[in-house]
Amino acid sequence: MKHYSLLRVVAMLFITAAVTPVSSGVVDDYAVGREGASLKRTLRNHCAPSAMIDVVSMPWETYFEILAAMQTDDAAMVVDGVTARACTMADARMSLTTCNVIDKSWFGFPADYKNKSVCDLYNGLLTCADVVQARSSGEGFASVAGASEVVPASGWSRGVIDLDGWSMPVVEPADAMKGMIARRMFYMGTIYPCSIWCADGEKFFGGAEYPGLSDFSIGTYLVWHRSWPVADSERRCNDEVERRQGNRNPFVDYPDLAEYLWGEHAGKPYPGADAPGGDDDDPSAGVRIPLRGVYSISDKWIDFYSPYVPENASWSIDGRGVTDSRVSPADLGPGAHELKYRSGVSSGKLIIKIVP
Amino acid sequence: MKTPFLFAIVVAMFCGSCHKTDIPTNHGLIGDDGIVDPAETYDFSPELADGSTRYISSDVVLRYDEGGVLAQYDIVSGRSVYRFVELSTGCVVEFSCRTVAGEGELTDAHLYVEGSEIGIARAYMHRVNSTGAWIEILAPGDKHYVLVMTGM
Repeated sequence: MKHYSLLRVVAMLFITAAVTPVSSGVVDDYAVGREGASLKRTLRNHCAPSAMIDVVSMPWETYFEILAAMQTDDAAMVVDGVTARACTMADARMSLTTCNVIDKSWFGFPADYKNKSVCDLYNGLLTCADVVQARSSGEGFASVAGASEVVPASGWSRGVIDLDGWSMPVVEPADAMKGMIARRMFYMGTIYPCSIWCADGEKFFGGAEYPGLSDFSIGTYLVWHRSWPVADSERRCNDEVERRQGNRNPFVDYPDLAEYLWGEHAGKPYPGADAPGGDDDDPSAGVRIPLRGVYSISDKWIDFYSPYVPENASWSIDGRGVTDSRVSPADLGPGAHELKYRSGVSSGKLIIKIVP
Repeated sequence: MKTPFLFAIVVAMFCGSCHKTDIPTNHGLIGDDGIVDPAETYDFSPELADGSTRYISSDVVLRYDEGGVLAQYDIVSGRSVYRFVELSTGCVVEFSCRTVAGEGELTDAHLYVEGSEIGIARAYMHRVNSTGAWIEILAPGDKHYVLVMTGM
């Protein structure tokens, strides 16, 4: 039990007296305008847990109930995270057990990341003993289409796939769970550095920080992510985790992120979530988009807003003071424009470029 | 006869190697320990001739004039904070020190790059006026970083 003592010590180091939630708006604040590796790094910097629960020293029943709260459907039934079977809490206590989305064997050095992974609630899962047994060697989640030694079960399957000449046992979850599993894999591949992966982890995540997922994983999980979109139960799960460890899975709140990192928009700047309603012609209406370096002349607005700038800043453009909170790129015209701000003893400047 | 001749050759070679001096010919200062202060041998004057806002280091280069780099100056509790944010990547460089009114060595100086502190040996304000500030940072490995912030 020596390693559990070490886990307990490391886990305790991450406990804070009060969880400081990571603002659910961090994606809107920091990710907009970023692409590729920068976008991924931004998510890693701003969407990681702010505090870890000491799952090692807490009573197993307490950890079980936390995971059960994360896997509750609209009817308040506990849903098996792999088989999708729903049952009452009383039945769940008898039939489900805890496991990890990503097995500990996938985590190499440094050891503290392995310990973090155990405590990260997004890596926790409740499922039945049969699934745990099928994953006893650290099997990952993938489709068994074309696999050998396929063993179908109730809503899920296991088999052996050939991946670049490697025979890799995998488990295919029930359809209803595939989207959630995909978004958990996106999260783990984004929050944790690629350098820590070993064993099957290298096959699923690859060796580069970006894309941070192997081609095999991108091909599998993007399909699952698209085919089984985010449901209310996942959003409730995000609420539960945010309450306890201070962060939200950004791929649940902003499903499009996956497309900009690995999908059809890979390599393009992330534009932000769609602005809800608002009068597009009203300079004061709509969702603010943080300042970035380059705008198109066809962009609707340049918002005088950045998470790096005080809220009460006074702005000027090209030496002229402005009173509105945004300006149209078309009004400024193509070319370079200098924005300056002042707020108390704080000042700053930025050159933006408007392209045709 | 040979031995003194060989000895003379060895001595001559040794004297020749002594002339390969480590002592620089310009502004070099040798301390009591005989070690040349690298900060004193670095010529910062070309940087003073360039008033563009920039942060230049061996690992990160942020030039304000290229666009997309937010340059900020704050005064917080008697400390001057100079910050560069590359908006497209989120790379943040922050240098802070006790606020000074003139040139000279900067005290209690700290440099953070992407949230990690870079241990610096010293920092020096080469020029500060109403236009801006020109700062030299001596980093690990005797590397000289340049931070200039003007037009704020």
